[in-house]
Amino acid sequence: MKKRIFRKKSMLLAAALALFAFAGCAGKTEPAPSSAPDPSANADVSEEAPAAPQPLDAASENTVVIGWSSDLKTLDPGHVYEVFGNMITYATYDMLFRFEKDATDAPKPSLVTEDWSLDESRTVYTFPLREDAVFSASGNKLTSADVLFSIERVRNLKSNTYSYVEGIADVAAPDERTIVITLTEPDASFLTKLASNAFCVLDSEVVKANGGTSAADAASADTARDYLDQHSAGSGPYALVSWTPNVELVLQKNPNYWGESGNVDRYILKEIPDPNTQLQMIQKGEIDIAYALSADNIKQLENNPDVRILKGRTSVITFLMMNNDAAVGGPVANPDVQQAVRRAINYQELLDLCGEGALLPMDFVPLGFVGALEREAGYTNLDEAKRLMEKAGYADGFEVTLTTANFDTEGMQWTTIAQKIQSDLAKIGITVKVQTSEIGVVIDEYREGKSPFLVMHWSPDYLDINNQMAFLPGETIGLRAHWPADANAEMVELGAKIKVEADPQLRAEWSEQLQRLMAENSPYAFLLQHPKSYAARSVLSDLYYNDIAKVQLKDIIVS
Amino acid sequence: MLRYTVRRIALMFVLLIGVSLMVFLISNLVPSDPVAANLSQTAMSDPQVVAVFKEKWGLDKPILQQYWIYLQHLLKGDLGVSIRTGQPVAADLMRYFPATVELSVFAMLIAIVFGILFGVLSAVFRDKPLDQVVRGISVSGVSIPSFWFSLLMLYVFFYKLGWFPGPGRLNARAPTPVGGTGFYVLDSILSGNFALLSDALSHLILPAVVLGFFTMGLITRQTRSNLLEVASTDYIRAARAKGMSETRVIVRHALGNALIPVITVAGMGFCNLLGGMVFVEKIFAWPGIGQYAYLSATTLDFPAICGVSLLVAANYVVINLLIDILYGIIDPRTRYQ
Repeated sequence: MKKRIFRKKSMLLAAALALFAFAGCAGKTEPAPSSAPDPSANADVSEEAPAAPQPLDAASENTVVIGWSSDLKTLDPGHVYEVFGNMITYATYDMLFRFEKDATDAPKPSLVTEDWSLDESRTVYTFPLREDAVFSASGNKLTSADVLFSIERVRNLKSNTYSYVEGIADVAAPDERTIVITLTEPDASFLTKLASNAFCVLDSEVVKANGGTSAADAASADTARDYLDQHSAGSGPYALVSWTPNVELVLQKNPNYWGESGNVDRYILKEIPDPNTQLQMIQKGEIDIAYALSADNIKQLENNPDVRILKGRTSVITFLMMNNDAAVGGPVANPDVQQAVRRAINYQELLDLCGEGALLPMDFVPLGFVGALEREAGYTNLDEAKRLMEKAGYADGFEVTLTTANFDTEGMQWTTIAQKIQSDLAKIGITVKVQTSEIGVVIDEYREGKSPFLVMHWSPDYLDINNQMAFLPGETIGLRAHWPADANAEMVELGAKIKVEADPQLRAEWSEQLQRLMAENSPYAFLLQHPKSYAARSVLSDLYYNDIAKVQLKDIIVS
Repeated sequence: MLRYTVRRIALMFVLLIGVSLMVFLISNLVPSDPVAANLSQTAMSDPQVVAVFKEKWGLDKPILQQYWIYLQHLLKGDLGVSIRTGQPVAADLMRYFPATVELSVFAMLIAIVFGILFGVLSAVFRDKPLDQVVRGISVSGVSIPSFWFSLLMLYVFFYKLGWFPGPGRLNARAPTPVGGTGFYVLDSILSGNFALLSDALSHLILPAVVLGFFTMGLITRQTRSNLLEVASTDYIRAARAKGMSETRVIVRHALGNALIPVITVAGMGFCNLLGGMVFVEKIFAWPGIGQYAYLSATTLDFPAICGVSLLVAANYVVINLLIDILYGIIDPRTRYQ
C-alpha cells in the first residue's frame, strides 16, 4: 500500500515537472534577427493573419523599428502639438520651410523656391511654390490652393496650433504656383513658425472629401481628424500606413517624393513605455533605435560595439519659479532672496546629474537660439548668497515649500532636481519642503499663479527667441510669477524690439542685453538645458536630431 | 435560479449607473483641469482656443449637467468620445481590452493549473521538503511586487538566456494584424496561421507567468488548506477504510469539495488581473486596458476614465454572478430558491 501511494505521489510530481517543461518549451524562440530586418519572417506572420492584415511590401528590404514612448494624441497637423508630433509630420508632410538635418538656427525653403520675397513693410511674404511636389496617396499635384486651404483650416480650427497663425492677417493664392501671406505686424520668427506642423500642406481635395473644411465654422464643422489619424494627406518623404495609438505607427516610403531621402523603406514605431525594456530590446536587436532611454541606460550601452549612442541638443529648459507676490511666495518674493537662490545653486552638479550634454544657459534663451549666452563658470557663490539672505532680513533662513511633479524631462526626474535644490539651499539656511503632485495638479497651480516656489520646464513651440518672450514681465509666464509688465520697462521694450527686428545681428545684440538683465533680476532661476541621448544600432547612419523634427526619419540610411 | 440571475443582471445596471456617477464626481473633484492636460501652454493662454475646447467637450457646463448629458448617452449605449484620442470610448475599449483579456486568461490558466497542482502536492506531501518548497513559491507569489518580478523575468529569460521573445504581443518587426477579434491566439487558430499562433503564444508566456504568479500563490494556499481539511473528514476516512487508492480518494472524492472555495479566489483573481495590470503592461509593452486607463487618468479624460471604470465594474459583477451560478452547479445546496 505504501509503495502504491509513493508511486502515485511520484506521478503527481512528474506531472508537475511536465507542466513546467511545457511552459519552458512552448515559448522558446530564437532571438530576433539582430541585423537588417527579415521581411520574409514578417510576411510569415502577416501573410495568413486574420482578416486583411497589412502585409509588408515584398520589395521592402529596409525596415527600421523604433522603440519610443510617444505622447501622440492625433496626427492631424491642424491639431497636433505634442512633443513627437513633428517627428511624424516632418516625415509625412511638406511645409513651406523646414529645418533640415540637425540645424535649428534657420529653416530652409522646402516647398518654396529660393526666389521668395518679403516686402518693405516686412509683413507681406510672396512665396513661389515648386512645381514637382505631388501628394503621396492621391497623386494630385500640390498647388497654392492646397496651401491656402491648409492655413485657413488651422486659422479656423482654433486648436493647439492656432498660436502659429494668429499673426496672419490674410492669405491669398493669386495663381496656382504662388501664395501670398500678409501679417498683421512684422514677425521675425515667422519663417521658423512656417517650419512647424501648423503649416503642413494637406491635399485639400482629399481632406474635404473626408470631412475637412477651412470655413469659419471649422472648429465645430471639421471632422477630418479621424481620417488624418489614419492617412497622411501630404507630400512628404513617407506616407502613413497605420496608427494604433499607444501601440504602433507604420510609415512607408513615398516613391513620388520630389526631394532626397534615405533608404529606409518602412518604419515601425513601437510604443515601449519602459526605458529598461527599450534598452534590452536594442541590445538584443529587436529594435533598431531606442529613443526613450535614461542617462543610466545610455551608460550601459557605452561599450556595446553594435550600438551607437547619439546626442542631440534640445531646447527644453528647466527652471525654478519664485512667486513675486509676497502673499503667495512669502520670502521668495523678495528680489534679494531670489538672487540668493540663484547664487546658491550648484549648477555643475545639476548638469552632472542630468548626464553628458546638459547645458547651462544664462537664463531664458536656450543655447542655439539667437544671441543665447551661457551662464559663466563659477557663478555659484555661497558667501554672496548668504550676504544676500542677510540683506533681505533672512540671515537665519526660512522654510518654504517647493512644488514639483511626478514627471521627467528627457529622462530627468523633476523630483531629483527638487531634491538637489533642497540640498543646495539648505547651505544658506533655506529649509525646503518638497511637495510632489501629479503633473496636472502642478500645471493647474502654475497656470493660476498659486505656487510659491516651483520646478517647471519650458519646451518651445518653435525654435525662436520670440517663443521665449513668455518669460518677460507681463507675459504668460511672467504673469504666473506675478511679475507685471511695469516691473521692468527696459526688458519689455527690448523684448518688443526683438520680436519684430529682421536684422539677425541686431536681434542677437538685444537678445544678449535682455539675458544679462534677466540673469540677476527675475523671479526665475534657470537650472539647465536638457540633452537628448538615444541609441541606434550600428547599421544605421545619417541620424540627425533637431528639437523640432526630433530624429529626422527622412535621412536615415541602413547599411 | 433564473429569476435570481435576471434580478442580478438588472441590479448590475443600477450598480453601473452608481459607479458612473461616483467616477464622474470623483474625477471632477481632482484639483486639476482637463484644459491644462490637453492644451499646450501657449494655447492655454488664448481665451478663444480655451473657449472652443471647453465648448467642444461640454466642459463649459455645470458638472451635474455634464453628468446628465453623459448619462443620457450612456443609457443609449454610447460611452462618449475620448478627449485624448478623439475616438469613441467604446471603440478604444474594444481595441485595448482583447489584449488584456487574452493575457489575463493565460495568466489565470497558469495560476489555476499550477496553483491546484502545487496545492495538491503540498497537501499530499504535508510537512515534507516538497511542501516547504511549494510554500516558498506560493508565499513569493503573493509577496513579490509584480513590477519587480516583471523586470526580473524579462532580464533573465529574454535578455540573459534568450529563451523567450521580448516585450510586445508579437515580434517587434511583425506588423500588427488588422481586423479579426483582437485576440491574436484565437484569430490565428481560426485562420490557421500557425506562425502567428506561435509568435503570439511565445510572447504571452512571460507576462502571463508574472501576472498569474500572485493568484497562483493564493490558489496554492487555499487548495492545500481545503484539501487537508477535507482529508480529515469522515467520508474520506471511510473511503480510505474501504481500501480505495490514495489518488482515487484525492482526485475523485476530496479534491472536488476542496476546490469549491478556490473558485471564488480564482474569480476575484481574474477580476484583479483585468483591472490592475498597469505596471506589467508597461514593462512588457503590452497594449492593454491598464495603459489606456493610466493615460486617460493622467490627461483627465473623463469619458475614458468613466468607460474604463464601468468596464472593470461590469467585469466584477459578471464574474461574481458566474461564480454564484457555478457554485450552484457544483454544490446544489448553495442554489438560490
